[in-house]
Amino acid sequence: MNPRPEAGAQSTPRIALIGQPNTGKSMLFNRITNARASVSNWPGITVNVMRARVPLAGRNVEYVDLPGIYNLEGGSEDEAVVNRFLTKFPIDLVIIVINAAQIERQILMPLQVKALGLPAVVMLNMCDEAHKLGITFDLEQLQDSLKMPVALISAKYGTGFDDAMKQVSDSLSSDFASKPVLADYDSLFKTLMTEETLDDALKGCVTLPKIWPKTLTEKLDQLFLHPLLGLPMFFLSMLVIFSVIWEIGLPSQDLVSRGADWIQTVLLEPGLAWAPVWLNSFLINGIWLGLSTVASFVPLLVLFFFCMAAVEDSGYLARAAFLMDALMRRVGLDGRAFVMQMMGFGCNVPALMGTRVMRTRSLRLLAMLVIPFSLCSARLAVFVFIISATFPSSKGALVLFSFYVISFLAAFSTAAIFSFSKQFKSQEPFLLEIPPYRIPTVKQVLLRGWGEVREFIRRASRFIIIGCILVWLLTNLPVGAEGLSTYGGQLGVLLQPIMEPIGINPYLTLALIFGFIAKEIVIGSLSTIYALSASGVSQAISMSVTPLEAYSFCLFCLLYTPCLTTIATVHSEGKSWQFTSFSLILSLSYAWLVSFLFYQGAKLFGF
Amino acid sequence: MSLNLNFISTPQKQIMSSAPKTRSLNHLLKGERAIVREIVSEETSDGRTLVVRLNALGINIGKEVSVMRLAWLGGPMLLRVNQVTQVAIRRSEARCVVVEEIKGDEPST
Ligand SMILES: Nc1nc2c(ncn2[C@@H]2O[C@H](COP(=O)(O)OP(=O)(O)O)[C@@H](O)[C@H]2O)c(=O)[nH]1
Ligand SMILES: [Mg+2]
Repeated sequence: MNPRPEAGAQSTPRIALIGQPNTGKSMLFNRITNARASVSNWPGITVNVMRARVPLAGRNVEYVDLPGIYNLEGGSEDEAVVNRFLTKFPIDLVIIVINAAQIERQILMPLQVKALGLPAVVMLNMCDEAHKLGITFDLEQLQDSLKMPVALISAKYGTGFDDAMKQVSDSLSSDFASKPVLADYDSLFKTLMTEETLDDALKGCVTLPKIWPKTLTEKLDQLFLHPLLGLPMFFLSMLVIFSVIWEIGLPSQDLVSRGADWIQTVLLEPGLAWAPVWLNSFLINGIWLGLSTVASFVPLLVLFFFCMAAVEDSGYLARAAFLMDALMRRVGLDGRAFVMQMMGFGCNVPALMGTRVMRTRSLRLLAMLVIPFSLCSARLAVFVFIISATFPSSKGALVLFSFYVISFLAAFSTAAIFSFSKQFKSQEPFLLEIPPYRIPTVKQVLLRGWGEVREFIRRASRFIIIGCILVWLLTNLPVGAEGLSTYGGQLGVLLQPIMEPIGINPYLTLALIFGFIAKEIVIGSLSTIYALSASGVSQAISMSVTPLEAYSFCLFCLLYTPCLTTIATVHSEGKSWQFTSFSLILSLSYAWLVSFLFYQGAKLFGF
Repeated sequence: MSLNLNFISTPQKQIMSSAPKTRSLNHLLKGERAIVREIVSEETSDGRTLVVRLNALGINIGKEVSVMRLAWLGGPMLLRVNQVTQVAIRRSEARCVVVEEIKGDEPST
């Protein structure tokens, strides 16, 4: 557990990073802290804020990465979070991060922080981009004008970073930083900021180029934002990415599962020869098989998260929002909701939290209603497993891609239907900054990707062991029972009247029940249920489950509740029991209905 | 003009301005440039937030905007504001921004 940050006096100085969205705060934060951040839940502000403690000039300092906001006086959820943070927790120093090229409008932030009475330093970030555009700065003049230290840096490439950190440590030890302070919002509200205030603050500090160079972004956008080709190209590039994941990820999964088999036969089985049969079965079938099967998907997920990190950092997702807004508007959502849907490919939980940028509650709830349909990485692992067992390998990537398409269709159709009801109707304006294209550095992609993988493993390991033990108990009790006569088997049989019409057998039903806790358990529990290793289960499934049944199983898996964590997040973000239960019931009935229509329909047409 | 007050001083719901050559931003075509003259918003909380957000992205009285492209099916417009910021805005929201077109290669202010 993290020690709870407290509001009172503290010995470690606290530095907060503030800035508009997309100015590179997180990147700077990672550079300062060597990516050693942990997410902390700060009491009283009910939101997770990244923080880390690292030494600065010989003394421990706590850094906090606040959510990006456009205006300290704004009224969105994120802005309220920053407000609550700054008024609850005393700060020793604020680092204001600014996109140097956009200083003309972002200069508002240092002026507002000054009005709050907080000691601050300014970091003009992305100096590499400003330099390419031909923008130059007179830093001394700017320091005089703002009366705070200013540094020109590139968080991405490290330019100017060391000097900037020296300024930070100097500011910490100089006069005003003797005592941490709380933000004084009253004085901010009393300060009138006009256009002229901004212009005056910058007078003589910035030189803009006479002729603006034509940027690479413009040229690329002619292609990627093409009115007709833009969207097909977007879906094509997604297809390419998922094919890559399939073609490279699957062999890697095979390799790991063979390694796991080897460990089992060479080490575990002889090593456990002394144990009584039940203990042996518990350790090998209950724990080892479940864990090792899930572990075999880690390389595939690593690859997946690297791809996602690269796409996210490139700036392409904002383009997707632009391209898709026309469609999303017709189903009562907007382009940002489409991006959340894509973020949900990694994990639905952060995507749900991402809806905080929406101000209208009805829009936010509608977005939160459809995000759980987004095909997250845990479901990806299940699908890869089932598809590779039941479909010919050449068709695999396409079958997998079809589930991504269905995931979108499910989200659209649900939104389209419910946007008519007054609880979900909204008029929120759509206004989105489109950043330039940026080439992600290898380090950045590795760092982000690895962070996600670590999170996956943490989540998976927490649920899987418990899940697999439960599954093992259910499928091995009462003593002496086998197959369908065990408790688990009986449960599966009990549900057959509901599951048989959608082509799901009692064993798979049992896996789905445990999938309710987390989808990572599904494949692990299959290993436990069949008491076979990954490759063994794969074979058993390929013999006993038709492609049609497999597809129906995956459909159900895609559309019903993703996991307990998602439900908990829907509840904590939506703050309404009615909404949480509605979301739960909706996804269950939707999943059943779609699988039913698919399975019975396909049988009708003689598949 | 005050940054956070200019929605108060503008007349309610009045989109057409009497001055010649001004029109609302959503009528601009691809490649056209214009100067923002007025931001009109309804006195609802939604209207106010729209003004605050437009301002935060640099769409302010006196600033130059140009239309980079228009999305298909009546989707959003892609604007360039102040040379360095690209903003996607729905045409319905663009209606609230009254602009004066810059003709040809006339230098901007
Ligand atoms: N060219 C350049 N890009 C940067 C720099 N710092 C951050 N970025 C990119 O800007 C984008 C936003 O960065 P991020 O740290 O997520 O911003 P945040 O929203 O403020 O946390 C990412 O794509 C980064 O790769 C920089 O110094 N130079
Ligand atoms: Mg960030």
